[in-house]
Amino acid sequence: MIEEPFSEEIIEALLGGDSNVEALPPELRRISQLVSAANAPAAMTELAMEDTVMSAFRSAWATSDLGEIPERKRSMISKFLSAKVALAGLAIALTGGTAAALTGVLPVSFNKSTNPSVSLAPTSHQNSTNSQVGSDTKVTDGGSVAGHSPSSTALNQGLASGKSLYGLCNAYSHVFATTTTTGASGSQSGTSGTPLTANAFVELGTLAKSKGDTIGQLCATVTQPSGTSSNRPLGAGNSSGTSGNASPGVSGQNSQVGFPPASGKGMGQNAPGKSLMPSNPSRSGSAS
Amino acid sequence: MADQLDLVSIIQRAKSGDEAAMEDIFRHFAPQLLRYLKGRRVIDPEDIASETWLSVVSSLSKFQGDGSDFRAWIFSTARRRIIDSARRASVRPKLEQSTKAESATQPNDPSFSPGARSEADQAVADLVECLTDQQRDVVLLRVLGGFSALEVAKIIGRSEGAVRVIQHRAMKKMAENIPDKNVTFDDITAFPITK
Repeated sequence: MIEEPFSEEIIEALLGGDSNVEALPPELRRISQLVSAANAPAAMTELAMEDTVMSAFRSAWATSDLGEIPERKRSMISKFLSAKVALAGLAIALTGGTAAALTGVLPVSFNKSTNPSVSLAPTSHQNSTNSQVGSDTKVTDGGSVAGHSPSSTALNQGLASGKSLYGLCNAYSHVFATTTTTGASGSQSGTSGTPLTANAFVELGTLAKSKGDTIGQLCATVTQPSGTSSNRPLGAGNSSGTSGNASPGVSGQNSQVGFPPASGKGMGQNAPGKSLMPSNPSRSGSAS
Repeated sequence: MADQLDLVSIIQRAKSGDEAAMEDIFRHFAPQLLRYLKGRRVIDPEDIASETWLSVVSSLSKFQGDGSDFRAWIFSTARRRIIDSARRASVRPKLEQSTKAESATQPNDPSFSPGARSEADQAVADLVECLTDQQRDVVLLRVLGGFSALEVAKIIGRSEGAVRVIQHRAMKKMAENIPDKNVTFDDITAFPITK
């Protein structure tokens, strides 16, 4: 067993290769010689992989120079922005949807640009518009509607498209059926605040009036738009339907094919295949 | 060979794509790194050295620090590769290990020929022959890496005091077990072994 012949300084000198061999104890001289030999200059075999390393250096430098790191930065930025945009969209959707649910009114621009049948519930805004339209609208000899607002024009233009007119007529038939079966005012001229006097139906009446027809006659000529299951007029029955341009009046007054009588009786007693589309008691009468 | 003072500028040049600077770095560190790996008795030191250099080269543009940090970075990378290699070897099928060991011990394998080992490799092997793996790690980092006790402590994740204790015990063990080789090869052959 060797005594403790070396201090901390000797150890540091030995491991650092700074020791004076002659000053070391005999048992440590060999260690000093081995440390010196271990730090000998490089042999050629130890540098054999230099070519491999240098080619890797070239390719790595070319890759990083062409934007490996910027690519990662772009990726992080795009991810961050995408997350923020998604959060903002979610927040807008939630708050907008909540506001619409609470007020029952969709934004004005949305109401104007879409089918008016989406806002069938009467509101004060609709009532005021209704009264305004009702008072100002006049049918001229040529069948054009005079005195209607720009929004009415836009609405009529919207109704000119098949889908919106079909949907509005369909909604009109359902509302008509509901009001007549529940004993509410089923008159098409309706009182203020009833569903039949909703702005959309007033506009529908205006459109019918402009064509010299009633709502029932107008809707009877409306065909289901393409892309749906069938393409037949609303007023036509299952098998006895007429073409989209057929006149609804086949068997005289109040006996139009597929239309209930103007009195509203028998809405629930219609034979299968009969349409629920209301008819107008007088062909030349006012639809609204 | 680049000295400590030049190392910072050489690293900066290498980071900017200077191939000559990268060659200087490689020639400065490659021999010590390879001897360190051989002294640690890893299965395939050349492979691990190659992996280490590839890792260093690919991450060189992101390196920040001085020459001492760079040296520590290289040896730390090598140590991680050793750990990975040991982990891979532990899950490798035993049949493959035994086959490799048999082929490595064949007499015509140059890696096991005494003549194929350089003087530096032999010195390293003799130096750490009697040490444990932890003592071997500390001694080789100090001798070949040129690190201080504090730097070694940071690399291996121990305290400086613990490193000093390890190196002290290692030194004592080396002093006990490394023979004084004043006896030369000619002295041995002068007395042939007789039955």
